[in-house]
Amino acid sequence: MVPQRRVDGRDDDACSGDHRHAADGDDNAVSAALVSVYTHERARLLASLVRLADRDMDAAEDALADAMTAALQAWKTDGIPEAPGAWILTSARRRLLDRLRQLRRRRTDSMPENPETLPVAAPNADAEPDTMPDDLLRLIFTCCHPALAMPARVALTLRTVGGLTTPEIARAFVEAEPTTAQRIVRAKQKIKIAGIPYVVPGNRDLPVRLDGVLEVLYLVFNEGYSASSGDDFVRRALCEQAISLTAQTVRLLPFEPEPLGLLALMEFHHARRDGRVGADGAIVPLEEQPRERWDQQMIAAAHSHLVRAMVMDRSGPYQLQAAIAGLHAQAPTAAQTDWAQIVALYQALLNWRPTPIVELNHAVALSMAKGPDWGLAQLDALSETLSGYHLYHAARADLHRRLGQRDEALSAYSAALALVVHSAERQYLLRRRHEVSGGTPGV
Amino acid sequence: MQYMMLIYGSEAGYAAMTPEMHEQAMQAFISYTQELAASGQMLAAAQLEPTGTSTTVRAPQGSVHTTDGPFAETKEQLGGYYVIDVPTLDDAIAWASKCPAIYGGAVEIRPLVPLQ
Repeated sequence: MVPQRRVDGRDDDACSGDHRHAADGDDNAVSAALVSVYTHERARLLASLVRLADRDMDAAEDALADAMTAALQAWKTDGIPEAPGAWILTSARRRLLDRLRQLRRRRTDSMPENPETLPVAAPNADAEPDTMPDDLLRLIFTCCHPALAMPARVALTLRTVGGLTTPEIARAFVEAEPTTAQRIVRAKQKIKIAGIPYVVPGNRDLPVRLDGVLEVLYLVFNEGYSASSGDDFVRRALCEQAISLTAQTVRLLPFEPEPLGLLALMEFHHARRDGRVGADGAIVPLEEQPRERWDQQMIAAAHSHLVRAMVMDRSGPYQLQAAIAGLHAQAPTAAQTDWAQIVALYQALLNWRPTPIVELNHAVALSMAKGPDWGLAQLDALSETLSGYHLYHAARADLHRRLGQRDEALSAYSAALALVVHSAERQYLLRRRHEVSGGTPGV
Repeated sequence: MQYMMLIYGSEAGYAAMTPEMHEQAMQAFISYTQELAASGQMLAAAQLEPTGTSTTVRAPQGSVHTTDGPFAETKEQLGGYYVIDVPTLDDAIAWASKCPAIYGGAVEIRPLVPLQ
């Protein structure tokens, strides 16, 4: 059955077909076609297979991987099909159904009862169409199900929807590979065994469940944006991954404003990626960032996403945060930032997220709008809850510096330095403390 | 799928209730159980006597030892269970969310291993 290799390296049966020219082996074209399917269609194909496999993600992944392997060989021989993604789905689907039938038969054989009396049901997948538009959304909601722990949701979403490998995820979150692998294995098992459904939640549950999905996506982004460790390349890729996943969610739920708000928020932040870190590796504060290095195209995209969200007239925490990030990103100079508006947005955000961190940001905005005294008064009220947070002390230090209170500023910088983990932030704080101790006057 | 909902609560807290609170809690459970039974999705349910009445049996080195008290001393104790048959975990979570035990205690949802 194995085709004989000829001296010219072609398979015998490849020579009889109409696809001689393709069989002449543009191996690069075949690889490129496969890479393209993997990059653009993998998540959608996998999402359909997971439904057919009744939530058995491993079976679905195996079938997809086998089909991709088979495609490599078949396409070299027969040429690249017109719809490569559909070809792979058909092939993967057939493999999956064969495997499910086998499993079913084995299970039936091991039963003590007379097998003939048992209904040997064909997998119900047979009756269903190959893909359903909601499949990818089902996959996202299932991976972000609240019955899974947050780290498991994040890892599983990146693995199945994002297509990252386990080592890549482990590296991004700075944990040992076996830890990540086990997290993913356990999550997949729980989905299968505990009966986590493969559905898009109904109207009643959608708002809460969507929040859960957005939380996962934002966490992925933040890990990339402000991780305390990990190399820059991996972190940037994580940000892009989060943006792409959020954009997919937006496409799938176009009439929900908060995914659009989150997308805009990520884009406003990510647009500043090249201005955030100086040549010395230190974090550059917003007001000192070279604005010409910001990605204006991405800022424009963020702006249009935010506008699309806001016309739906259902406010939410991501839209508010995006609006704040947008005012920063769109101010022509730091001095022209509309701080009064930012203060108002933080006040609105406090209704949704009454957390000390939002209060801290509100206080900083207030100090910019009305003067450092106002900010310090607000910060005093937060001293108990935030005394272990380096940015609290950094904010205090900055306000004292602007008021020309050298000693208070120095001791606050030292308190911040004692708590900071991220080396780029440490660099920045060291520089500031040095400036202040050197008698550099406040701004 | 079949799930067991394990009801956990503080026996100390329960014992400290006034008779009126006690009566209210009982009523809440009765109407919850009635609603669950009326849905046709309840297979079994029971309230357990407090852990002061329990007996634990082990055979660590092959010989049987009987001890007074629960398997583990915990802050909250297993006080009862429901067995339900519903399509998915989401349905089980929806039932658990209605259970009076979640205010002050907790409900743990465990899938039952299907009978072969």
